[in-house]
Amino acid sequence: MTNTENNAPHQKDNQPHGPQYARTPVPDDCNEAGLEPLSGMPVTGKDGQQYIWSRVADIAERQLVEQERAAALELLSINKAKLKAIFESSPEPIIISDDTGNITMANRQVTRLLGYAIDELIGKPIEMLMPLRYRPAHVALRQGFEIGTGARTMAFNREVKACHQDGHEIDVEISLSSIDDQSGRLIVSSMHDLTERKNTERVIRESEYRFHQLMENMSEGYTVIDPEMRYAYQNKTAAAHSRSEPGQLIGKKIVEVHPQGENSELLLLLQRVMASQVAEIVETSFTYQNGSVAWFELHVAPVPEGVSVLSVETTQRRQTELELEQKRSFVTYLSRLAILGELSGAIAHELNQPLMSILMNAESAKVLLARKNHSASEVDEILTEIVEEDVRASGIIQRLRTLFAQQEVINHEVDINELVTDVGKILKNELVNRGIRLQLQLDATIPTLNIDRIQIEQVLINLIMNACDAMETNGAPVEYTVICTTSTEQHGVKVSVTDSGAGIAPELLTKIFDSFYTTKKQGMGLGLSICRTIITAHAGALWAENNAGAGSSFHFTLPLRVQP
Amino acid sequence: MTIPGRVFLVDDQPALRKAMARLLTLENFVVVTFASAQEFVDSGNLSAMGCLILDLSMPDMSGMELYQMLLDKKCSLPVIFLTGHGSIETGVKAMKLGAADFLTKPVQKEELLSAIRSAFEKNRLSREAGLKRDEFNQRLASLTPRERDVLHQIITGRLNKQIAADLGTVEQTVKIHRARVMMKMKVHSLAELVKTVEEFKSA
Repeated sequence: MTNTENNAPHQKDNQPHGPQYARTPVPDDCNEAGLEPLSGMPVTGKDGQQYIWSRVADIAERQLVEQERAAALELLSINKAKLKAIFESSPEPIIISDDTGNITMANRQVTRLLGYAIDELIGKPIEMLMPLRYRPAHVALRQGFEIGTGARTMAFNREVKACHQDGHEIDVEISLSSIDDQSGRLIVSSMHDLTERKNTERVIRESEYRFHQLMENMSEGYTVIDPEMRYAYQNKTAAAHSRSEPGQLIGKKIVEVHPQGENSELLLLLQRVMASQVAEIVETSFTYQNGSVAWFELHVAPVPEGVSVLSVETTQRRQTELELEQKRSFVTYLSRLAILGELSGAIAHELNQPLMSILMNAESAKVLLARKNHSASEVDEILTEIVEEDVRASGIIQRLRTLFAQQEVINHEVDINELVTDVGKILKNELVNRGIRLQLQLDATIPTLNIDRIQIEQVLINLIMNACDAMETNGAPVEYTVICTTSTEQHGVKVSVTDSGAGIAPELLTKIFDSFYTTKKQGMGLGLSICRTIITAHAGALWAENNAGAGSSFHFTLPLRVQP
Repeated sequence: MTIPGRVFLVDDQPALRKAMARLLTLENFVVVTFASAQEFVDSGNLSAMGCLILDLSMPDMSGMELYQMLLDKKCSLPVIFLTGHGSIETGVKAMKLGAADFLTKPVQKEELLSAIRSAFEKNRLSREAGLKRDEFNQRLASLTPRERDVLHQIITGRLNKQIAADLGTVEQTVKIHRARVMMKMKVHSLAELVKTVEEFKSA
């Protein structure tokens, strides 16, 4: 506050306090006596001595005043130093300008914030620290303050732009206060650098924007349900999933919206998650009012506002899966037909046995009845045998019909040993014709399995037929025997088909399961591929290995429980 | 009144064995059944009178294998094959090997009976032929070496004097040999002798 320093001498203090005369010569330091010589003339005293007649002023009072003043000045200087120290040590940049808008003081922080050296600022208009576009308006504003109208609004915190020496703009919060002294009004501008806060705000804003963009544009639906089961938030996709416009459902209760009403699966699920606070994932279907059905995977999780539902539409995926499953089961079916084609001779043979017995018995009965003294008991015995053979024939047809007709996968409790034995029956004549013996080694302790009987039969038929083929292509087999064993595994059952044929080249042990790979002259190369598909669908495994001796073994496992 | 000869039935199907045996018995045949080819072989009826009804596909020894064995042993028992599902291939093979018949299950009664009857007839004829051959062989065996030489000469149509020249004897001696041959072979004319020898030449 340089303009508060006033070193101008006090002229009136120089006025003497009336004439006083001293008889003693004026000492050199007459000030100490509180006197001040004003004027003098030499005179000769009565003693003949030469004296100076002097007019002096009594300045004692004046000296006292001056002492007080010095003390005050010292105090002031101390205070000024203190203020200066505060001014300088303030963490915030402070600029003081005079009533004409010129900068009179600036602290180091100003340099740090705005780049200018303090010397470059002193005496310059405050507007130099503002971006050009704000300068004219500021001048007017400042002048408003100067005429006093802005006095009350001076001490505000206001966000403004400051301009760095290098030209870049800086966000600052500025607070103004005024000091009046004898030389006029001084404006103290204290600034607070907002760059960091602004940056943080910007980062938060951008993050929020991104989050919003993500929410609105993501392909998953996101819905928040409040504890009263009202829609609190829904993104665009979720609205589409609800077949509604974005925002249309907000505030509405689920029961009002959902066609299934109060006992809907969805509502129960939401209430359950709300109560348990444990997230759940479900796949469920929704039937809309127009009757269309869509499938969704719902991730329901507890959130502070209630529960959140992340919804993924799986209709397409399910359809693809369904189509794939249909194709798979159709190919499986075709392969079954192919097996039946191969087996048709053996099947015909099997069926012709009881037909022949029935025919023979019927003819016998006719012969008997033509006789006068036929015995009724003999005819009865014949008829009983006809019935028995008929039952046997229909049993064969029944087995074939299931193998032929069924396309859908239906899991039942199946005794695997019974299944193996039945396959043995189906293949009996085929094996006999080929001169091959089927030896069964069955583990009687095996529990029942939940499997699709027909498909597993198909796998086993395939493996046994392959084993037979393997032994036929072999030049000189030791023994024409296929061994089929069942055994209990840790988590299920293992079925093995072992032959004493040529074995499989090691590099083909995995390749033989590829589709359309075959070593047979008349083969599609689908059998093993389909077998593996079937076993995999049952959550089991199918693999091949060469025996220590001759031939190879095929094993498949089936778990005790197969999830539907 | 049972028919002479027996029907041997080999089939692994018990119900079928029983039904067939019943019908054939009612039709006055004597039927003996076997569950496997081996069982029949062990029974020692390989050269019995009658016929064999053989199922083609049986475990262990198949019908075709048994038949091959009968052929190897030169058994005269006619074989009727019976199959649940006959392929042309096996049928042709069986007939070429000389099977009496090849029937597909279920076979009609008349077809079966006629097949058995012809097989019986075939067996009877072959048995008769066998008896005649035995007789012929016996007669042939009764000839002296010189008579046998004369026999060979006369059936090729040579004259007595030619034969005498060949054998280094006189015509009269040949005449005596010739008369003895005719007597021992129990024929009344040269034509009959030639026919008989031709019939059994292969033996």
